[in-house]
Amino acid sequence: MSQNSQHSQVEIEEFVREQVEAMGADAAGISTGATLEEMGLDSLDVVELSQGVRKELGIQVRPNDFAEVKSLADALQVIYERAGCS
Amino acid sequence: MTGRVVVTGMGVVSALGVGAQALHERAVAGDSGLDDGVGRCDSFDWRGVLTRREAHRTDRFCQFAIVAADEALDQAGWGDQPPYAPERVGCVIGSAIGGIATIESQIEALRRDGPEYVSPLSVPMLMANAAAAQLAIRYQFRGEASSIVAACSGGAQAIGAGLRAIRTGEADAVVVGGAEAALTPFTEAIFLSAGALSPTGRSVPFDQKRDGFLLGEGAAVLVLESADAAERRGAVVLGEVLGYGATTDAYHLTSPEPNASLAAKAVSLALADAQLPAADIDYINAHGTGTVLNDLAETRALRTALGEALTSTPISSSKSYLGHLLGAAGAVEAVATLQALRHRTAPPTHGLTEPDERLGPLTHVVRAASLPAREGGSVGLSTSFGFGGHNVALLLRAVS
Repeated sequence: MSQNSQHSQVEIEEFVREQVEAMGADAAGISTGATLEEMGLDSLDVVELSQGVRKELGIQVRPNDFAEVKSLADALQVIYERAGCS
Repeated sequence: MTGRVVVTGMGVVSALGVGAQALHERAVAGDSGLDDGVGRCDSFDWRGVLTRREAHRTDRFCQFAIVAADEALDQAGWGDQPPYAPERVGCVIGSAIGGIATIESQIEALRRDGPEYVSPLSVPMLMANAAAAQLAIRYQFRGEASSIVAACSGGAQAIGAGLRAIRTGEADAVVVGGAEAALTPFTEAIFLSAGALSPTGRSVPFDQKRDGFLLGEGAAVLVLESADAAERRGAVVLGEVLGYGATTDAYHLTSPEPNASLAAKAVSLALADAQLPAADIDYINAHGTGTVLNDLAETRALRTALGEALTSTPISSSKSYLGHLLGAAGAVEAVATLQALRHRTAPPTHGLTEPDERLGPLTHVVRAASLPAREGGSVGLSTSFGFGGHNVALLLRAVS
């Protein structure tokens, strides 16, 4: 289910990059083309990310929404869709 | 096979700073890490040892353990991989409570934001075995790893567990210790309610005016290796774990058994294990919490187990300058004991001016005191007693 987001794609990407870095990923390795695995992220990080997006941006994503996600770009696409700004 | 177990590395995080050397040098200089009635590790900084990712995924008690382990393993000359088959290396790190700060923050998140906002990292951060698990991942220890949760004797029991695993041949080396970071208002309230925490914040073990213990935080890690294996790899040996004894009062959840017969038995067992007479003990690092009940029971236990030898053996309490580190106490005090023996200088019971005469004749260390030289190395006794009635005694020898 999508919703009309109060956030632009740029704002969402910026927030997600900050979250991923706060979770301990190397800033230099964070790129939309990189896989979550390449950035050293695991399933616990995905849950944390979805909690952060829900709480801070108010976008209703759930960990299961990321089940098929491979790359950061995939993850962002899921969030954009839920935010209604894809 | 000698069956002997040696110490090849030691690391400490305490209110006296980071490092086993800082612990000893500042303690014998008469410094105290206690400030405003608490032994907080104010100078601690995980940066430089932990990665940001490790820091994000660990509670403070676990961060202490990693920094202490980094120092201990560096001193032992271990690289990124252990010098033994990884599955022959164990890890046992005691903690009385585990990640209490994580527990408290996540209960707050639950109440404030709801269950769906409780961190998925909560369990791996709060579990008492997190320190052993994180050390295993970081340094590739693939033998048995666990935590010993036994209140204030857990750190000492971790050393006993490592000793046994090496003696039985299950492991070539075991990285042991204790870690605790429980300086929260909740924990303070618990111990105050139980009547164990000093209401004045000025408690001094063995002093006639002491009125309870003071809380501290920190960690210590020791690298235990089979003496034969350590010799084969050319390791520098710092000390030896000579003997271990452990019993349980089976009497009361918090009060020591007044006759202290089982506490005495733990000391006797350690002496028998080490095959040493009481007269060979050069220094006693007492559990020395600063509660009236502990002081009375502990000195009674020592008098029963050591007899006349107790009267002339220098005795002091590290808790007088560190506070009570709960599940880390036994490990930090084992390092304090080994350092005292290695430098042949006993640290004082900080602030002790009026010893309680009810404890009988004792050789209190009130200023750093020289210890006699002994062929083969000075010998020390470290005692630990925990809520639940746990009694533990360790006999350690310096090797120089």
